[in-house]
Amino acid sequence: MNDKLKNIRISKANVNIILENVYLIIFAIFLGEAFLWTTTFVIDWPANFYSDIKDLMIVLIILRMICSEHYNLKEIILVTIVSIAFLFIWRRNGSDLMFNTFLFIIGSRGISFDKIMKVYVTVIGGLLVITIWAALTGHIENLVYVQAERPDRQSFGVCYPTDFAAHVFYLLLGYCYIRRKIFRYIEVFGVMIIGILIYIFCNARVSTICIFLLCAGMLYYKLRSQFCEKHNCEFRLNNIMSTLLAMSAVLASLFMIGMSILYSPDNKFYLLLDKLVNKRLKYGSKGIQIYGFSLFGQDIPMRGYGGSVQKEVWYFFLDSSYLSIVLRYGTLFLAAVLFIWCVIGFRAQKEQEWLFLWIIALVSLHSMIEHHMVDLSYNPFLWAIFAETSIAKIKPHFGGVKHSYEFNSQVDKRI
Amino acid sequence: MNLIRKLIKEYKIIWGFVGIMCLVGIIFIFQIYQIYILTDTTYNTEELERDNIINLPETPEDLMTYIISAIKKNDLDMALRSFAVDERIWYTSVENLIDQTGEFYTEMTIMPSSHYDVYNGVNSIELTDYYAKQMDTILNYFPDREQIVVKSIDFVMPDSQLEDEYLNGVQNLMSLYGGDCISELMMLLEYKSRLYVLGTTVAHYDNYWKILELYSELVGTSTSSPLKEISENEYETMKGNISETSFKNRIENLYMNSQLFGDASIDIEEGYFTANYFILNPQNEKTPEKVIRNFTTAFQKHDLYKAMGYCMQSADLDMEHTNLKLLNQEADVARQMKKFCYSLLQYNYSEQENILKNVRGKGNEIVFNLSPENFMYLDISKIYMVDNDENEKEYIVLYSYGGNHFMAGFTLINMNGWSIEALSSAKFGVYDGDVKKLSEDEYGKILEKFDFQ
Repeated sequence: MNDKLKNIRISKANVNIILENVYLIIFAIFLGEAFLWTTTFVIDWPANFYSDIKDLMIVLIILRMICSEHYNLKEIILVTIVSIAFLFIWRRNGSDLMFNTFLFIIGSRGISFDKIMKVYVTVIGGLLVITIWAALTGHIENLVYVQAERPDRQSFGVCYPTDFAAHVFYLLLGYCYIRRKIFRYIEVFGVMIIGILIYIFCNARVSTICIFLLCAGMLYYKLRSQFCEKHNCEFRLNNIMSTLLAMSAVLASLFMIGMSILYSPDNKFYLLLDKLVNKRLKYGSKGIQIYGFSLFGQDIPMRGYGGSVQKEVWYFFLDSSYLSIVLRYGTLFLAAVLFIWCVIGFRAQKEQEWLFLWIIALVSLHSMIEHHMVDLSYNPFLWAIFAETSIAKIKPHFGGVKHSYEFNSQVDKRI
Repeated sequence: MNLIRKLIKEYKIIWGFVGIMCLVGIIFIFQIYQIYILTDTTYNTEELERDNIINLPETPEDLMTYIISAIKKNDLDMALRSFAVDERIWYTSVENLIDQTGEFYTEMTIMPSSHYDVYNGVNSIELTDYYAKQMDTILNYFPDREQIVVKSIDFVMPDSQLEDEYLNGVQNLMSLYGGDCISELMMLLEYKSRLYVLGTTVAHYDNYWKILELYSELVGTSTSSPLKEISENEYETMKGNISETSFKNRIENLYMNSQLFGDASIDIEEGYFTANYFILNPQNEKTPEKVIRNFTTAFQKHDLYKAMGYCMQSADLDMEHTNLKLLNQEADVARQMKKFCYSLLQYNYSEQENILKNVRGKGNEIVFNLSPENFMYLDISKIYMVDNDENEKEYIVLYSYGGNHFMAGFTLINMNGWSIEALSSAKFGVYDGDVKKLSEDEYGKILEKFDFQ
C-alpha cells in the first residue's frame, strides 16, 4: 500500500486544477452561507463554521502560491496594494468583511472568472429559487412592507424588498456576463420581464431601472455585434465613452460624496436632488457631519428597516455604497475599492469586453443608491481583479466550456 | 508632454487614478476646512489661565484655610476650585436619590452624569452656579473682607459625628454623592469685633478633601443662612469633648483608611487648586437657520457644550473675568438644555407634576430611560419662522425622534452674528427648553398651516 502511495504522481497542471476546484467549492459554500444570512431562514450554523472556511481558504491560497509558476510585476503590485489596504483596515476596523473579501479576491488569482460567475449564478440562483418557494409556501417569513404612498412591497424570504431586488439584479448581471457572447433576444426579453416583476412586487426603483438599462445594453450590444459581423467591421466603442464607463465608479463616488458634503436642506436644488436619490444625500450628509471622514474607518451603528416589518424608530442607514464605505471603512479602503474597480474596468476596455464594461458601469450606478458594492453575497464582480477574464487567455479545462471568437461567431450566426 | 500623452494613451487607468486622487483630495480639503472652522467650545477667562497650581488639600483644615483666603481676596475663581463640582458629576447617584425620595422631576437634581458623560457639561455649569451663589451669599455678609480674622478651625461636635445615627446619615450621603468620608467643620471668624461661625460639610475623595456644602447641619446653618453670629462659649461647646487627634484616629479606624487626614500644605493660601469649571464659548452663525441646524448637529454629536454655546450671548457680559453674572447666564442656558433633553426623553416634569406614583425603587429604570444614546437619531423635519424683527426672529422646529413628532421653539438674536436668545417660542407656548410632543393630528395641522400659506 505504501509503495502504491509513493508511486502516485500528480502533474502540476492537475494539482492546479484540483486546487482551483477546491477554491470554487469553498467559494460556493461561503457564498451560500453569506446569502442565507440575508434571508429570513433561521439556521443554527455550527460553531466555528465561519472561521473554518476562512482557515481553509488561507491554506488554499498558500498551496496555490506554492504551486504557481510565475507572477508578473503588475500582479505583485496589485496584490501588495490590495493586501496592505485590506489588512491595515481590518486590523483597525475589526470588520470581518475586510478580511473575507481580501481572502477570496487573492484566492481567485488565475481562476477563470467565467467559472467563478457560473458558481455564483448557480449557487445564488438556486438558493434564491428555494428562498422564494419557501417564502411563498410559508416555510419562512415573507416580509411585506406597507408604506403610505407606495404599493405593498414583498421581500420573498429576503430581509428587505430592495435587498431581494438587488440579489436578482446581481444575478441577472452574472447571468448576462456568462452569456455575454451567446445570449439571444428572448433572454433580453426575459430580463426585461423580470425587471417589470421586480417593480410590481418589490417597488425597487433603482434595481428596476438598472435592470432595464441592462436590457438596453444587451440589446445595443447584440445589434451592434450583428451589424459589425454583417459588415465585417470591428466592434469598437467610442474611446471617451468606454473610458468613462471604465471609471464610472470613481465618477459616481465623486458625485455622491461631493453632493453629500455640499448638501444643504435649505437649498431647493439639493432638496430636489435628494428626492431623486431617495434621501441618500440627507443621511450621507448627516453621517459626514456627525462622524466625519477617517483614514481607516470607524464604528457607525446603522439601523435600517430590514429583517422586520416593524417600523424602525431609530433609523440611520447609509444606503449609498460609496458613503457607507468611506465613513465606515475609511478613505483608504474606498480608494482601494475604486482602484480595484478601475483595474477591472480598464482591463475590460482593453480586452474590448463591452458588455462587461456596461455591467461594471451598472454596478457603479446601482451602488450610488444601494449598499451592496463590497457585499460578498451580492456583488461577485470584485473577484475579476485577479481572476482570469480574458477570453483569449482562458484555456479549455476539464469539464469547462471552450470560449473562442470563432465559436461565438458561429453561435451568433445561428441566432 | 508627448511622453505624458503616450503614457495616458497606453495606460488609460491613469484617468482612474487621477479621479481617485481628486476624491481623496476633496475629502482631505474638507477635513482641513472642518478643522479651520472649528471653534473651541469653552473659553478661558484670565482666572482660568492661572498657572500657580497647587495640589488638592490632604487635610480639611487646609481646605478651610483656602476657602477663607478666597473669601478675603473676593476671588470667586479661587473659591470655586475648592468645591466638589467634578466629584458630584462623577459620583452622584441619581437612581439612589429617586429611590430615597420617591420623587423625580427635572429640577430635582443634576442629570445622571455618573452614567452618561454627555451630561457632564450641563451638570458642571449647574453645580458651579450653585456654589457661586453660596459664595455670593457669604461675600454679602462681609463687605470689607480683608478684615476677616480666622480665630479657629475645628470639627463640629465630634461626639455627635461618632454616633451611629450620624454615621448612618453619612453613609447615606456617600451613597448619594460618593466620597469615602464626609465630615463637618466650622470656622470661628472675627469681623469688625463680632464673631461668626461658618460651617461646612466636606467630603474626602481619593487623597484630597473638597467642600460638599457651604453650610453645616450640626452648626445649624443652611444655604440661605450660611453664617451665624456666635459667642466664644457657644463655639467652645460645639467643639465637643473629644480631642481632634482622637477624633481623627477614630474616624480613620471607622473608614479603615489611615490616609484620610494627610499632611498640611505650606503654600495653601498662595496657590490655586486645579480649575473644575469652564466658561462656554459663545457660538454664532450668519443665518438663523444655520444656528438651528448646527445646534441640532451638535446635539446629535453629543456635544452639548457646543449646543449650549449657541445659547450664550457675550455682548452684556464681562468675558475676561469669572463673575457671577456670567455664571448665572450659563446656568440659565444649562437649565434650558436640561429641559430640552428631558423633554425629548419624555421625562420633563415640574415639581408639581412630578411622578410620585410608585417611583420609589424605579431609580434604575428612570436613569436607564434618561440615556442619551439615541440623541443621534434626532432629525429636523421642518423649520418655520413664526415672528420676524430686524434683529430678532422666532422659529418653531419640528423634530422627529423615536418615531414621534416634537416641536421646539427658538428665539434668535443678531448680535454680530445670530445666536439663540432662548429655547422658546412665545407664539407657540414653548418656553425655556421645553419640547412639546405632537400627535399626528397636531403635526398635520402645523404642516398645513405653514406649508400652504
